Amino acid sequence: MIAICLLTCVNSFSQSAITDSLQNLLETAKADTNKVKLLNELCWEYKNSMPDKALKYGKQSLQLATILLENSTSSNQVIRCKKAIATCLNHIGVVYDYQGDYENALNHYLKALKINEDLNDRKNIASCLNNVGIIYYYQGDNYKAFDYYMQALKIRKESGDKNGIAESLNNIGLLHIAIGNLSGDPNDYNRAITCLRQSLELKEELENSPDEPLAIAGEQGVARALGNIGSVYKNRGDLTGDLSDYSKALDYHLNALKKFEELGDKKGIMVALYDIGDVYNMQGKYEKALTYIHKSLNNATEMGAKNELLAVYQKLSELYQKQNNFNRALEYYKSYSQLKDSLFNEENSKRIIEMQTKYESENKQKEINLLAKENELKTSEAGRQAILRNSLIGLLLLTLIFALSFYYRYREKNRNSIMLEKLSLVASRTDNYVIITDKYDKIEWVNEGFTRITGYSMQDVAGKEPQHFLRGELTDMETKKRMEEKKETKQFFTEEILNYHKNGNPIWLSVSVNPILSKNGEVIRYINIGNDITEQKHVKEKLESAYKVITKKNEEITGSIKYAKQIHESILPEDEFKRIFPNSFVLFKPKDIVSGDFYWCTANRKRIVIAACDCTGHGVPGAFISMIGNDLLNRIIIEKGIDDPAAILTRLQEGVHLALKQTDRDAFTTDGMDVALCSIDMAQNTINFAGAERPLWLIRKNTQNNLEFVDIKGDSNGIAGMYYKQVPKFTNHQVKINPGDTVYLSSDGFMDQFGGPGNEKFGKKRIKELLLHIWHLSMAQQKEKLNATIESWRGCFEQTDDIMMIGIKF
Amino acid sequence: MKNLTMKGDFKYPEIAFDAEKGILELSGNCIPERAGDLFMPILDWVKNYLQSPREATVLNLKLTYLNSTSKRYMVNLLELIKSSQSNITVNWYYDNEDDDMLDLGESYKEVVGLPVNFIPVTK
Repeated sequence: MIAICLLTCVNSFSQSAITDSLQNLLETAKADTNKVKLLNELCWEYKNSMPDKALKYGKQSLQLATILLENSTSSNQVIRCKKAIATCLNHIGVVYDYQGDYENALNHYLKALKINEDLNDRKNIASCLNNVGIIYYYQGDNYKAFDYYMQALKIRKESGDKNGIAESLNNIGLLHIAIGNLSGDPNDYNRAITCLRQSLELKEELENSPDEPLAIAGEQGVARALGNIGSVYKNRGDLTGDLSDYSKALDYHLNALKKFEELGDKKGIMVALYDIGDVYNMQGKYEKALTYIHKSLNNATEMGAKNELLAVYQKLSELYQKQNNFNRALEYYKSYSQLKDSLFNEENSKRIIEMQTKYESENKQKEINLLAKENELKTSEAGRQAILRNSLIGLLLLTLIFALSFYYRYREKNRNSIMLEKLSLVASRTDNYVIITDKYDKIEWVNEGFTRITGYSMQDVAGKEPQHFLRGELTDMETKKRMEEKKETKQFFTEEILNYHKNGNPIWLSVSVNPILSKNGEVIRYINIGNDITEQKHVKEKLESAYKVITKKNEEITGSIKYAKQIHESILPEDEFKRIFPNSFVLFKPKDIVSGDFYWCTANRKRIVIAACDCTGHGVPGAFISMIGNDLLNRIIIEKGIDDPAAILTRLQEGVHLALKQTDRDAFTTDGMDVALCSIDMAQNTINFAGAERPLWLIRKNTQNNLEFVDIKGDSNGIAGMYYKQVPKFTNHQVKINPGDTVYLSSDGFMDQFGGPGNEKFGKKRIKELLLHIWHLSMAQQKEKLNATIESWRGCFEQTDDIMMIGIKF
Repeated sequence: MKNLTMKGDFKYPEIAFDAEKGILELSGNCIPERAGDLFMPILDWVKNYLQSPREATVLNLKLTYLNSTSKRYMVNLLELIKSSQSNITVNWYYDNEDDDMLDLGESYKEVVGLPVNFIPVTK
């Protein structure tokens, strides 16, 4: 509802002349500036009632004035004509403004502004600035609106135009309200109050003016200002929850009402009545609210003010709902939605007529047909919206049914049968099914939704118990039992149950049962509401069974891999390694359950041989290769007694080729492994090392007692895979070792781990720095440090590959 | 013949093999679970291309990481290039702070016995 009143300005106060007499005058008028004035006045008088006519007169006036201007002989004449044109443009702007055609309105206001500026007509410049501001206000461009309002205010202050100042302040106040509604800042409302109060004071002064039009403008202004201030307080109260704002709002609106009544301003009275009712509504005084809104309704009906009626209907429906008077709530909601539909259609037809006149002159019948079609479509769209709205009513009233059941239980009021009938009427509109049964659960009424879902009509089921015909052999006994038990508690409950359609097809229903209780707490009725969830159930069942299959398969696979892990771990010589190298660590982190990394060691009196192997792939495929590698190392080193590292790698290469049948020289095969292999002579304190794409790192103190990182790169070819095409070329490297020297062997998993701030590889550089940094720590601490570092590096990224890092301190 | 192109992501490299221009470019990471799925189409395409290559071909490798299986497939790719008698330039681009990738490139050069241009890239 328009609870606020904007003040659109014209350069002259409207005369109370009757349009008829104006028209009479027009017929006899000569084509001079007087006729222009006459046409202008007619345009103004018709602006509300017949905007088309108003525009016609306005344009005639403009045309005539332009001709007169061209034929002007004296400068006085020119000025007179220009003034008339400016007035006319402003009038036309107002007509467009009232029509909501803001683009055209703005256009005409700006043209008028230009002419008034040429004429240096301060008063009218201010009027135009004000009107332009209003258009921007309507369009929500608050900053531009503010700018224009302020320009207008400045001029009016300079020229001491009290009425103008008051109107500017009023408009600026309203702008602050709009800004406040957007910002939610109560300070905006405070600013609005300041402006509006100033406006009120000025208007009060004008009331006593000897100039009659000014006095009338004053009285009107006072009434409007009072109403507007009331609205700000109401808005501020809504925002802050400060109840004293509502009392203030009420005071102002009551005063505004009094003033409008004195003025006999029907529209003002209607608006004030509504506003008073609305404030009472917010105060929870629904009876009083209803009284005022009903008065407003009478006025609105009398005036045929449809937009206001719409708001009134809506408010009445809301109020009756709050009072639990659902009959009337429904009644007004219906009125509301019907009116809304008709307004929608009216708006459409209006647009069509507008378009028709626009195009008629050009005789473009084609376009008109097209528009008519569009209208047809829009009307059917309106129909669809009506259906939507109806189902919304249904939904609303279903909610009311729930509320009602609680209402009766707690307030212990009697329900009357008329109410039930009404509710049934509403219930019949919903897509859900509704069954109303008596206290013995015998059906009194079912809605159309019930027939749609179950196939049974009202005649089929009247007097029967729903469970006797709806349930069937597959209905779950437990659910049935549970429902009976829940009914005993006389409380609302919901269940999902398998029922049967009249044709025998099973249907899944979601049911909510609402017992209606009498004063003494006895069940007198049940209202059951439900909907068909068969489809959802089917989908759910399918998903569940698929999920079960997947879970089972996953369990089986994981189970077998976990078992494989036990076997795989048994090849790792954990205890043997610890025995040979008491001062050592092995960081072993498979990417998956089983790993493609493995280490191998053996010792006799003279020598220790240790291998760190990184098989291609990871997980199960990696683990398979590692089993082959482990077996081959056993055969080559233990059975055949070979202890030369390069020779071992060469044999390993041949062995993997054979085992994986990599004999087809044209096939691309990649399976194989990278190996770092050391043969340690404990008597000589030397390490013989050979690497297949894996290095040996050694940290020791050199002769200057500085820490030294020795990086012995292995050969560039790995074991097996496509490398079989090369003649195996592995090189032995001999290193002397001293007590305290630490040797590190690893797979590439550690340095290839992605992570860190840039999700990059950990890299060899960082490993080198890290190892030098932790070298002095005990082996257990080093392992812990390495693990913590790589875990925090990895962060939330997945592990890139299997990780293995072995450290041995001599 | 049709060009071979693929958009890259964290685990797969970007492939831009242009038969018309004779420019083959691989860039990014190679961390596929099944490296064959990535490399077999590449190897097939290159085999096909080498049947009638351009007068001069450039293979630009701008790789940032290869997992161990991919490393082995890369050898296959380079061997294919080497076995062809045509004029092919191999450019190995590497981040000048990433010694690992330089090492890898150098080991390919050694293992395959193919001339490779090493081009450091500053981040």
